[in-house]
Amino acid sequence: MKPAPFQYFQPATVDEALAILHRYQPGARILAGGQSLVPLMNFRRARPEYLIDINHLEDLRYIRENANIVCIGAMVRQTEIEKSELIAAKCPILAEATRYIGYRAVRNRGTIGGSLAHADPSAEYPAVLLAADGEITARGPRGARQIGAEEFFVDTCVTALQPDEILTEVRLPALTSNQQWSFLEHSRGYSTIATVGVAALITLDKNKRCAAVRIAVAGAGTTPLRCREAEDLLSGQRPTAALIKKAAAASAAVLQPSIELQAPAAYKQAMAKVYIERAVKAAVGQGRVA
Amino acid sequence: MSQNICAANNGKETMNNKKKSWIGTDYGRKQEELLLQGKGKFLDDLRFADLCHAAILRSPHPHARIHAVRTEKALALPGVIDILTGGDVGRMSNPFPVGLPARILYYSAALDKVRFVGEPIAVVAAKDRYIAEDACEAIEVDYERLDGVADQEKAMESGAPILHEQLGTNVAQHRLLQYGETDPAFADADLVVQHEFRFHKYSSTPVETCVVIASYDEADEVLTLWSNFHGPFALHSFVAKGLNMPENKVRFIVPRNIGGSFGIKIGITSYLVLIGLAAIKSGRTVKWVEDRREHLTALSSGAERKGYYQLAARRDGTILAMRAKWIDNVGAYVRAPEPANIYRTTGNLTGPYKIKNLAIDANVVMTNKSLTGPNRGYGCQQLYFCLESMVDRLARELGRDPADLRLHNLIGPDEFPYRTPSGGLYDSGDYPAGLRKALEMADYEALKRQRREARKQGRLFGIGLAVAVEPCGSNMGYLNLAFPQEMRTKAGFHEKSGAGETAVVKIDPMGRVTAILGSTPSGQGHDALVAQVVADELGVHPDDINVVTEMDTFTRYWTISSGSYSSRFAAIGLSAFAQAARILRERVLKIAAHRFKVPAEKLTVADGKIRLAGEDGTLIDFRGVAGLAHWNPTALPADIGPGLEVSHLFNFPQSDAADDQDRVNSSSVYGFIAEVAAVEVDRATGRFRIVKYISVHDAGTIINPRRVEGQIYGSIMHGLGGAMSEELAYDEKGNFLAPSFNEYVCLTAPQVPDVEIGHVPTRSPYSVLGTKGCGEGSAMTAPALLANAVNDALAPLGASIGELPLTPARIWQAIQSAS
Amino acid sequence: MRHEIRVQINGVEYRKEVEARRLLVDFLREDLNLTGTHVGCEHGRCGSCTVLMNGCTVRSCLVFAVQADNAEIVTVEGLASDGRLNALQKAFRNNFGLQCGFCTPGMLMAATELLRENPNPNEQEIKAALSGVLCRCTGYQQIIRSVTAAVENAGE
Repeated sequence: MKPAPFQYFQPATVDEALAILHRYQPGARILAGGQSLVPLMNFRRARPEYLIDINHLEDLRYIRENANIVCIGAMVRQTEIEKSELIAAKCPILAEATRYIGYRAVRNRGTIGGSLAHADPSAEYPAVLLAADGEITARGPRGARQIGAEEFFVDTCVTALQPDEILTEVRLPALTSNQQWSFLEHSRGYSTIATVGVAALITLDKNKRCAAVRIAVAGAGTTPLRCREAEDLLSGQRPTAALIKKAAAASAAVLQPSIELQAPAAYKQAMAKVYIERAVKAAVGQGRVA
Repeated sequence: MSQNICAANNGKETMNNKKKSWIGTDYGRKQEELLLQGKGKFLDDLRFADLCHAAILRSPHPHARIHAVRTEKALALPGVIDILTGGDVGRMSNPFPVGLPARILYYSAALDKVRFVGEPIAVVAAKDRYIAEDACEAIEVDYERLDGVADQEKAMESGAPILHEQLGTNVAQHRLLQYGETDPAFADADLVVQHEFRFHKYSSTPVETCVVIASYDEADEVLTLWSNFHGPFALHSFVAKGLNMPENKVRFIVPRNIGGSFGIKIGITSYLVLIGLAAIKSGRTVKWVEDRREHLTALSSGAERKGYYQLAARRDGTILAMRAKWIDNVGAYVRAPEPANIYRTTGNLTGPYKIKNLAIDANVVMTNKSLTGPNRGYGCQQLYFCLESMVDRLARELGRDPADLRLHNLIGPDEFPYRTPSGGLYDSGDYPAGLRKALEMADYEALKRQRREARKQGRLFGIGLAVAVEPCGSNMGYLNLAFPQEMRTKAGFHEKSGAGETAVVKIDPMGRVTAILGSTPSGQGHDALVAQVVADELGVHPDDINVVTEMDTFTRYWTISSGSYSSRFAAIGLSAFAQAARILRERVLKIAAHRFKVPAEKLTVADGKIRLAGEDGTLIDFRGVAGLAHWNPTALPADIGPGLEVSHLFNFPQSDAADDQDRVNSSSVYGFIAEVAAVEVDRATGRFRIVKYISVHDAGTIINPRRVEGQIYGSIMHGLGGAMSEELAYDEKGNFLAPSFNEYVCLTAPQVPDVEIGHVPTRSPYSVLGTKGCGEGSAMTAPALLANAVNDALAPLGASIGELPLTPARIWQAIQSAS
Repeated sequence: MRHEIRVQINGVEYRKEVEARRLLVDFLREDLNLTGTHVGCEHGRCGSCTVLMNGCTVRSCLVFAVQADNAEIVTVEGLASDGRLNALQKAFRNNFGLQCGFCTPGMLMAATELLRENPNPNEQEIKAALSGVLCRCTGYQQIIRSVTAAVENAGE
């Protein structure tokens, strides 16, 4: 399985990358970690004529915090996220989600920007971005803009990025002191593609009521999906076991997952309910534990 | 604690003569050190001059007519050397011989019709694989799509799409195999248990894929085919016939290392022809490396089976008779050695039980799926999945403990050699002891207590058992059962029998020992086993023995049964080597006896030195003997003869042809497996955890304990993978859904259960060292075991599953349906 | 379009011209004759192609050779010195951590990375580190034992 021929570019700056991307539209694609794109190319399901390798753009590799926002450069490797002390402290849901991504060798190359731009609806990072109310920075010939998670994911492997834009940064709110989280995933094998994944962030007030609830599910649609039914039921309430169960059922009921091999739609829907319930319980019950 | 290889490589001291014994030690071999440094010699590692690289254009459709294949654009691409089309294949080759009496035309590429996704259409030879794949995309094919059928029962219905028009049906064969008297037994029975099962399509997917390098020498008219094919070498004739070439002009060469096969690489045979034709047509040496998509889509898998079963029993638990209808899905063509999935298990159809009466209504059905063949276990996993499930169901009906019910029906230790109603000759075993050992190791009573507790808490905890007779070393005679008795008695019909293997052991002119295999291992460590056995027989250090595992049909001693398959090496291969080494030892001693004028019986051999028994002084060493035999042959007496080389073929005498009652001893020796497992099922998700896994084996005399252990662990994971998640899935029209490891999910290190292994060896009286086999091992039992455990866990809900794989979704569905 | 690359492999520097789409694993095996690294799937799942690139395990079937320009790569051939197995390789040999040997380079590279970062991993951590390499022969048990033994021996 060898890829179709392409012209290869290794720009030294983001601007250079953007120029090449703009010039060679629509047959140009960005090569980040390559762990999603290169398999597609080897299968010849993706055949970019122009490949723009951004692995040497050191400007896109940083993890910092700015006024309670964690800013991560697009080219930060998944392994770096897994090991980052800053992320462990300020955005632990992202670190936990990273542990479910493939295998170590894949995480050594895979990047956060690449994963989000690829927008596989079963992937971990899109669900986390959505649950955490994060946003991405897109840079293009017309300048830079922020795209919120809600608008970013459009369809299976389709985002709001214009063809001549590059995702350069990811921003996630830092975890607050009264915020609890969990990330859970159910897949066919060990660390294989998720059948269903759930990211939950819940803020409890001093009366143990849900002041804010954001839950996102992966693998149940063409994009990660917010579980608004569950969120609405839980908002302002004490998250009892019975309420959590009801909330999970309400969200799962509206899902229309597509069939996956060995995971018929009814099963996926049922697992969405089980895992939403488990994720919310984990988030509220034992504190910051998955 | 880590095993110090130095200690292992010192052998075991035996009581007499200070002679060290290598059999029974964990002997390691230098081979392993080479592999650890990346110095293996897998076929794709070898360098050939002036190669060109092939890519195969394959059908994207399950069923279609081919109206045209246009190659002009592809041929025009720079770097493209030649293209072989189906038209060329039709002109240059013959259809392959078919292993049953139905006129099915199977070529190495599709001629006017494709019948499965992935069927080869054309072969491009180019400067490199990248260009070859570019060229494949430039070939234009006019397909007329036809309706496809994937399910074997649907394929039998009238109105189903017919794959082979000249046959007029998708049923390649329908045979009734009847042994004993099933009708009276069923009439007499106190109860009849009935169920249906579906065993799915999966493969062992070795990590190394197939590689073929073909080169045609026009002057000699010899086609040389390098590949990682490993036998049975009966398929050499199959390939020669396909090529329409005389057998002695077709040379198979196999490299030193093969990266696993488990039977799957036997499917390489049609590619030997295809790439061979590409070499002949292009005049170039052509290399094809199968990629993973090709491997999953179009190489080989085990056959799916739909099984309808009835067991007739007495109230006391005695199983009187078994009736089964098998509908096997062999894919779009019947490719040799199929339909062996049906017949390979003839001798052990009744497993370890004393069942006297059985009837199998066997159907071989073709559908628009890839082709089938041997897959670690070959027919046994299907057989035991159904049989062991039925025994559990019978136990449930009778309210009897499943272990108890099995013990009641097992063949007793004093009944060997035991002739099964279908002709199998079980050589040795103690099945009740084996099962009891497994139960003891599992602490069966404690597990049952655990289950009671769990059930009180509403948890789904289950215990499963599986017992099986492990057939080792197939007897070629079983192949003829695919032909009904009326045909077998006709003049000109060739009877088949035999399970033989060759061994060459020689001492070269400087006194060093070389052992040459007639089979081709793929990771089982046969070279180490041979070194151990020959070392013990000849009294030399195994490190000093050069073991040759590469195969070359021009220069090696081989026969049609040669090869690595059906767990035969320990029983047959090592028997050949033990005998060959003994014959050589006799000759060595005779030469020394003649030289020193002493009786040969008074001489011993140890450490490569010949001594008078009871004395310390060396009379002569191997080098000296070699000097006499090689360098001064005229001085030897006539009855000894010159040279020191023994070419020996060991054939199992009990491997007779099938008789006129369709009975055949389909294997040479028979091992035994008894397993106990406990699982806990998560009611909400259908996932389960294996809480305990006990695996007890009778593999006869054990030559190398750690290697046997390795085979058992490996076969367990193959069996579990097949049982839990591996599935070569298709939609109902025959479109293939698992072209990568993302869809075809194999088990990995974190999923390994805690396994405890036990041994209950009983020497075989028929193999020279008492060895049996263990290579296929728990691949035969793990699916049955797991199904029984999961069904036991679901029993309180009234749910049960008779289908594989046992995915969380399937288990969840069963739980939903029951509540 | 061909690109010139300079790459250090097992301490030796090479300068070669490669086509852009040439996979790193093909470059290693075909252009440099370093056939210890194997091809098993070409989509990043089986792990037989694993090498160390700039110190990290990567799937060489998912990296283009041109991307390895100026990189330092270690393949399985770079683990032993002068034909003497290193401690990890010895542990594999002594504990029957291989049968056919095809996945072995991948297992060794994964274990090398693990032990470099975590000299004292527990069984879960060993299994997780090996999870990215598919083996069909051994059933993993003896491979896990080999790595465990390497850990224990290092402590001696």
